[in-house]
Amino acid sequence: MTFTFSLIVIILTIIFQNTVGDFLAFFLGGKLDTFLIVAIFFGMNEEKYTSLISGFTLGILKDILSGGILGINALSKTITTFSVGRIQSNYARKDFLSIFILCFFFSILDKFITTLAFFFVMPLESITLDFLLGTISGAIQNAFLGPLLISLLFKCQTKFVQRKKEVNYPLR
Amino acid sequence: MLNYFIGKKHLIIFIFLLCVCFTLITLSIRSRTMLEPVEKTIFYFIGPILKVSAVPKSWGMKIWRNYLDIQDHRKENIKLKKELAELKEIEKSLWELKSEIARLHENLKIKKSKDYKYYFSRVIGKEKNVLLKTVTIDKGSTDKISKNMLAINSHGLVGRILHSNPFTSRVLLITDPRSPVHVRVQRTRSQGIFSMVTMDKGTVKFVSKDADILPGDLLVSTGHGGVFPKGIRVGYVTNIKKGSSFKKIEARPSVNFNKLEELAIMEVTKRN
Repeated sequence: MTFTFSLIVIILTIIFQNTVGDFLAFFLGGKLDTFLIVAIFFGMNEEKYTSLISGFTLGILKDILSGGILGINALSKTITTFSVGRIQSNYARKDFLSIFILCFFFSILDKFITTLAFFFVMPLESITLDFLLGTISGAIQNAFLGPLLISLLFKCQTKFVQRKKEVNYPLR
Repeated sequence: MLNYFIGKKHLIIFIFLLCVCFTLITLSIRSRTMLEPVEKTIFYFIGPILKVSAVPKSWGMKIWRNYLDIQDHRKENIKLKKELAELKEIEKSLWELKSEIARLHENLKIKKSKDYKYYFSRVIGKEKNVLLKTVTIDKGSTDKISKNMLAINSHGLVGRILHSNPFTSRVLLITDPRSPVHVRVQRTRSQGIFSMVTMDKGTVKFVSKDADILPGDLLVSTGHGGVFPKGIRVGYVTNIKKGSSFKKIEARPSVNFNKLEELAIMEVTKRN
C-alpha cells in the first residue's frame, strides 16, 4: 500500500463522510463513521507501519473536523487499526459476514474508547439514552456499509497499487 | 537487544502514537491555544476538500428540500381541491336556493283574495302518458287538500286536484286533453274552449268567426262549468286562422309545464 494511495483514500473518506455520512445521519439518526471503516481497512493491510500512521491520521482529522478534544479519536482509531492488524489471522478478509462482525464490534469498541477517554478528561458528564441509541444506530450503519466500502477499497487497491513481488517459498 | 526492538518496530510505533494521542488530549484540555496553529495548518490543507464535499452536500440538501416542498404542495393541492369541490357544491346549492327564492317571490305575487285560500306545495313527481298528464304534490288530505281544488302558480292556471291521498295529491294538468278550460279573451271578452294539443301548444275552439282577436291576447278563465273560477290567466293567443263557421285559434299556455316546482293550491271559499 503506497503513501499516495493512503492519502487519496483519506481525502475520499473526508468527502464521503461529509456527504453520505451526513445524509445518513439526517435520515437515520446515528452517524456513520467512515473514518472507522477506513481505519479497519488500513488495519487489514499487511503493511503495518503505514496502516498505523494512516489510522492515526484519520483519527486526528476526525478530531479536528468534529471540533472535540484533540486526540480522542486519534487514540481510538490507532487502537482499532492496531487491533485489526493483530487479529488478522482470525478472519477472512473477503468474507462479508466477517467484515460485518468486525465493523460492528469495532464500532462499539471505538465508542467505548472515546467515551472512556472523554470521561477520563470530563468525569462529571453523564451518558444519555440518545447517546446509546445513536451509538447502536451508528454501529449498525457501519456494519452494513463497512463490508461494501472495504471490498471496494480492496478492489481499488488491487487495481491501482502495485504490490511487492511475492517471494517464492524456498527463498522467503 | 536492538534486533528485538527492530522486530517489534510496529509495536514501538503503536506505543509512540498512543503517547502522542495522550499528549494531544492533555494539551487539548490544559492549553488548547497551543494546538491552534496545528489545527489551522491542517484546516488549511483540508479546507479545499471540505469545500468540494460541501457542493454535492448542498445539492443533495436542495433536492431533498425541493422534494419536501413538492410533498407539501401536493398535500396542500389535495386539500385545496377538496375545499374547492366543497365550495362548488355550496355554490350549486346557493344557486338552487336563489332560484327557489325567486320562484317563491313569484308565488307571493299571487293576488290574495278573501274568496280563495292558498296552500303552497312542492311538486314531487311527474307522470306523462297517453291517458294522463299529472303531477304529484307533497300535500294531501291531511293538509286540507281535496278533489277539484285549483293548482296555480305565479304565471297562471296549472290544473286541478284529481284526487288527494293523506300525504300527497295528484294534479291533473290543463295540458291533459281531457281537461279543457272555458276561456275568454281578456281584451274583447270573446269566449271559447281552450285545450292542449301538444305539451306547449293548444287551441281555442268554438270562437265566433266575427270575434276580434289578435295574436298576443290574454286568455282568462270564464268561471263557467264550476271547476275553474273566473279571471285566472290561462294562456296567450299565438296564431289565428279563418274557418268556415269558427275561427281556428292557436294558443300557448301561460305556464311553462316543464318547469313546475312549486304550486299554490287554491281553495274557493266563496263562489262567484
